[in-house]
Amino acid sequence: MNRPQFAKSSTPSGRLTGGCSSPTLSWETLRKLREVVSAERYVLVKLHPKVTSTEIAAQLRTQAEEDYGADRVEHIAGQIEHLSEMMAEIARRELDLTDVPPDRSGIRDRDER
Amino acid sequence: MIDLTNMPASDIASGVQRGDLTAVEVAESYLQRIEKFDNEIMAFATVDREVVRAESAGQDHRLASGARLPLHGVPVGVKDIIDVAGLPTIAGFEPYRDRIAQRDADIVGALRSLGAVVLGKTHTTQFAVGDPAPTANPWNLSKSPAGSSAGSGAAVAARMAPITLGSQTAGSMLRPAAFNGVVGLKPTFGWFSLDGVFPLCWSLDHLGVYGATVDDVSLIYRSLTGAQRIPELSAPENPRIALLTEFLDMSDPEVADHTRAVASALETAGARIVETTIPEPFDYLFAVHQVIFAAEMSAVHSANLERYAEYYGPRIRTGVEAGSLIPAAYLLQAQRHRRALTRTFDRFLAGFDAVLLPTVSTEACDRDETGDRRFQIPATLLGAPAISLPTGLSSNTLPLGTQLVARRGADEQLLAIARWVSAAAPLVERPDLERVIQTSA
Repeated sequence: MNRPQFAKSSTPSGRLTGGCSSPTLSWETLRKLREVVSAERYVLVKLHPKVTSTEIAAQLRTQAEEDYGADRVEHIAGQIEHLSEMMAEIARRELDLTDVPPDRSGIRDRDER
Repeated sequence: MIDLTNMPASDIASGVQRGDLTAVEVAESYLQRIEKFDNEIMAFATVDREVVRAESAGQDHRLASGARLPLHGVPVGVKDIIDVAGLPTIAGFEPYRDRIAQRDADIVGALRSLGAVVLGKTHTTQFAVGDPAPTANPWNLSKSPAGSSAGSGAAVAARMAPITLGSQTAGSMLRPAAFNGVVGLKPTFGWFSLDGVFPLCWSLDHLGVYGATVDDVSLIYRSLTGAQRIPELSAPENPRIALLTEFLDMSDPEVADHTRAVASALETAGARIVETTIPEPFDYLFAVHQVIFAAEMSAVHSANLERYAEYYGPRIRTGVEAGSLIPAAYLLQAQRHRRALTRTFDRFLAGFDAVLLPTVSTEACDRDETGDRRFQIPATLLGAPAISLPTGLSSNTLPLGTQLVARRGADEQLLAIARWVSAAAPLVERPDLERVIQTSA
């Protein structure tokens, strides 16, 4: 999908200038564009002990709307809510940075067992 | 013809080995029972009678040639995500109806080489996830046989097979064992090869065995692992068994009372029962399992879902779609937590001969669901061996299961304890299917 091109700076008058030579944009247009961009942009679900299931669910839902469309999101809303709670539980439980690597058995082929 | 379908697998094998029975006679008994009852139970997805007859005749021929095999003539039903050469692996998914396996899965090939006869493929929920299979519960046709190994659990309960294979990625071996009132063993992770098995989640998938008795599943386990060459372990005189109380608190009162009654019977028989709780909160284990499960399932199925969306059941479809939203960092962190949990539980489980809890929080549910998977998940996540024993009936005459779990690698010890438990708290007999069907009519 083609993303809208942003101007890099703006003037206090609400007119955008700078990095693009296209016609300047109003603040209102910029706000709308940002909504579009955030809806199509990768969703960042931070792995942080304070993240809540509500925050995760909101992000996953946004991503789901982008991937599957609003109609499907209604079908998977329950799963999103469930997974968000599970993810928040994982994020809440910290591990020592240098301890416990993830399973690395993926580098072994079946024949190497 | 004598009905051989009530005979334990070990008696079938020894009878065939001695020449008292033929593999053909045994197979014919089971084919007749399938013919008679499977329209009601729907345990089998595929049975090719001529192939079964030819295969059992082949096993008789091997015997005549001097071979004496540990599973000689034992009929086996195979969950329909496991390849059997020449039969379709449909996995509950209509586009795969003609997907004929070119060769046996490792476990099927091993069973055949040990003398077993493949009866057919048993119904599974679609791709071993949550959309119910067409199978009915042989104790009450309006109830669920659980899932995902629905047909395998029901086939043993209905005496349509003495032994069946199933699989477990969350609770798909143990829960059908409990709902159908049979013995179900899920060995240590990796003990049985998954080669030739349709994957659900690579790091969680286990294969397992159903039978009517502990001795029957033990025979299969020991034959497949080569352990029949070493003496069978005996349970200690006074086994130390942990009763996990938080699972009683999460159960229906009737299930909790039943589990306490089993623990009490074991104590009377000499067990040292220690009431305790698991060393980490259940919600923590559950969360780790669910994130790994959803992410891996999504990795397996996303591309196929794009191609065949209309054929996917609603539960697996939503699960795959939601699972694909999980960021990589969460999956990796869940895998790290799994390792940390496994270390903690290895130490915890080493303190007991086995831990005891209900297999499921309820009796069999209605057929639009497959039941509560929570209590079976810890053993799956930790890769620990677990067995469900049908230790009683509810007030609705539905089976109740008791679950025993041991530390990773202690499968032989678990089977020894299970044998001891089944003597101290006798297992329920399988249902009278004719009466159940008449009652349901």
